[in-house]
Amino acid sequence: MPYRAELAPGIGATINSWGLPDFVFVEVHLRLRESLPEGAPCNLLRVAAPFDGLVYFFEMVDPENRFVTHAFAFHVVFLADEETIRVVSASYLRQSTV
Amino acid sequence: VMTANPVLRVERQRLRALGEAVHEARRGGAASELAGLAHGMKGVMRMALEGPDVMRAAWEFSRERLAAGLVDDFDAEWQSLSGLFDEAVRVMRGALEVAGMFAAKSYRIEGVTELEDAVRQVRGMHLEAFKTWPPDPKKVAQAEADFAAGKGQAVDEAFAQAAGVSTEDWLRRVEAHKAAREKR
Repeated sequence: MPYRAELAPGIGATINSWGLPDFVFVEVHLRLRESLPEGAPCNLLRVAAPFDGLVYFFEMVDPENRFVTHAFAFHVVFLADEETIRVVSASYLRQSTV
Repeated sequence: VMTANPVLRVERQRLRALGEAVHEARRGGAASELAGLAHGMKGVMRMALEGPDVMRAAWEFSRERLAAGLVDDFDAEWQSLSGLFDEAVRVMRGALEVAGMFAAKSYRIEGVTELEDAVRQVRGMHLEAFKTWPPDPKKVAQAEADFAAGKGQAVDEAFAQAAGVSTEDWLRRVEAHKAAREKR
């Protein structure tokens, strides 16, 4: 049974507040809707701090500006039903190499 | 196997060396030594101007370590990076201060304007790297309470809402995006 991702209310608005280019914004949606559930749990990082849990981390080069990398860290929690992954928080890093 | 970040260690040593050079120059000396010290400030300024490159490399390496799963304590890694940003700004400002001291004694030190700009760049990078880090524990607790109250959102619904369109319109946009991506 594949997993299904569910977001905490406000995560969508948080992502929107980062001012991502359209392409990247849609890609983040696809990662959370498709890549996260399909690849779980192998695509998750186990971390000890600032919370003890799992992180879905990915990064992508901005297709419109190859000098910019967008990186994302989503803190996720698995439900006991073994079907649902909840995204509890979202962090974003934008780095320019010039 | 988790490892300490070697790049942060190296860059910290580099900044420390610069800090020591700034400290030496600040001590000044007899009038007969000032010309030599002012000359030495050229090297200090050159090193200080590398601050943005040093910090960009350190930040990039930290990010790569997260992506590679080499960090189990995100907070420690990020706080270590944050400390390095603070250190870089401190020594770069120190170099500016010493350049000002020499200017007051009629020794012109080149690169002051560029170094002021470099300090602004490093401060900007620091703010950017920590804009959403660390996660706010209050928000995390609120998210858990919202989930417990059955307020979780499907991914499609959350993104449609964020984009200000209906879920149907949003999904059409996603499909168009996927089709365009496949053509690339």
